Amino acid sequence: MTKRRLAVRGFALLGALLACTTWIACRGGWKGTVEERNGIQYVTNEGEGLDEGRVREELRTVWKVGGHPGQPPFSVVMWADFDAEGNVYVLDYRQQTITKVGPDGRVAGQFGKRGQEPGELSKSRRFALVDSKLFFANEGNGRIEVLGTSGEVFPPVQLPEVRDPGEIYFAHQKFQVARRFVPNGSYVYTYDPSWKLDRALRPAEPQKDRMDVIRSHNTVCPGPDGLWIVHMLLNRIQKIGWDGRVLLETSRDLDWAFPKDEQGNVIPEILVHRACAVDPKGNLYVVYSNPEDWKRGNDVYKFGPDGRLLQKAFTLPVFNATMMRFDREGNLYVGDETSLTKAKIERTEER
Amino acid sequence: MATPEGRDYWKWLIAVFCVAVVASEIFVVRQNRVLRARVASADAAARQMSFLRTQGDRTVYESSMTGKCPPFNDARSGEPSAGPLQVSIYFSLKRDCMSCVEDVVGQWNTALRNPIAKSLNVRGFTEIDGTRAQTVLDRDLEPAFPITHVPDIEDKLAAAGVPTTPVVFVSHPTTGRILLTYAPRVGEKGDPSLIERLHNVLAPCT
Repeated sequence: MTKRRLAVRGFALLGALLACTTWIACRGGWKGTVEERNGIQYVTNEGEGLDEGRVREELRTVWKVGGHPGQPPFSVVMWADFDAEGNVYVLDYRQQTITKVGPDGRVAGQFGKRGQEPGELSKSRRFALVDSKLFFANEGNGRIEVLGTSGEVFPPVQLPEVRDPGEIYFAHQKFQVARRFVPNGSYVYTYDPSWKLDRALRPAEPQKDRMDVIRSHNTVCPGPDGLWIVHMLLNRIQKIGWDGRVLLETSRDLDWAFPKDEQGNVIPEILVHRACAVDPKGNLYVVYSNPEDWKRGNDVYKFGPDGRLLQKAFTLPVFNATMMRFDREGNLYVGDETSLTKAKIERTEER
Repeated sequence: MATPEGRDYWKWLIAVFCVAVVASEIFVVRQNRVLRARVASADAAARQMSFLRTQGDRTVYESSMTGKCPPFNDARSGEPSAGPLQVSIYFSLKRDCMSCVEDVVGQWNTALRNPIAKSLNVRGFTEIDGTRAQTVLDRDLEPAFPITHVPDIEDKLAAAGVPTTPVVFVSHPTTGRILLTYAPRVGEKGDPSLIERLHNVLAPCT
């Protein structure tokens, strides 16, 4: 009788242990894989992320400019960069103007205008503030436009390699000029500060049909140890080293069915990613489309420098993010159509 | 049928039956009301459909008569006294498909090589945003008519009640009122209907 009881208790204990293990396994966490092929790390990110349930990130707004009466009437806040004094320069895509905002969020001036002449902008989406000069990827005029911090006009830079500069960054002591659509050539070209070509990074992939050009639609985010190329229409994120080598490729399991054509190609009509930003530690934050409303893009997911998904970080306090970037102190700037928000990320450890 | 306890179950049964009859009657009346409402709404939709069809037939007829000669009228000399017809072509290099713009510009380039050209004053309107857009216009489209740069043309056209481009309006030389409209949809490339209608309008009745 005692033996029987012992056996029953043992089975019960074993069952409880099994149930516990199953519960812990199903509870969340990162269940992805890392596989190396031809020197490239391919990361899959099944599960909810390494930090899910352990760390909580929340946004605390520091200030918001635009979107209210008496504030600058932004049309589409497309980019922002910072000077050493903490001023923020905000590019309005629609107006092609730059609004200077003080460290306290008050408007300190405005300059720039749309046009074709030297000093005038067209379809500019990015600029880089380097040594008190603003270098614009002046896509509509096919050149790099150079303005001073008060709007002074400097001679533009014509790049033989890039006729359609879509984005510009300054990192690793070099300019990175990126193209939004890449039918040929390379995704990114790097230049030294005197605009001498350094190298072409990440050559275009072979184009099978017209749609492949659309599928190459991308945005670039520079980090401390390389560039992230985020494909806007494909569930694909790549990290490129400063030497042009592809370091890793990552993605996350989307929570909606991704449409494909008869050949299995992804139908390039749905914007998966909207914007990206890399924090000072090298973590990549990516804004994903909201699966319930395609007009919205405000769910932010965080990847570690190794491409592994950390967690769904937060939902931005805007309807649709047009830009996102960190300053050197780790403050996050988020733009939507009418406003720019400066926020701090507050992290709390959860038990 | 009384039970040993003295209860009369027949009465209960009749009561239940009565309640069921009343409930079903209420249900039938309600269903009837819903059905009537549906029939009325279907009638209204049918009337609306009939009205729209009549309106559509009328528009098609009126459009089809443009450029034809009216019955019982004398023959005309063919010399327009009020000057050339105004042709205004609106397109967007930002929003319209490139082949759609190429198609419209190409059609009018061809038309301007025909004898009707002397009876037309063709002008194009678009936003030329940047030197690359200017290059596309000059090198790829090569319009044989002057183009006027209109900043934010999409917004301005929408405010004027013109939601889509490319669109062409042919207007009266003196009053400026629209006589003919051409607004092809994507996929209707190579549609020569407006040029044909213009040929008809400009050809004298005999």
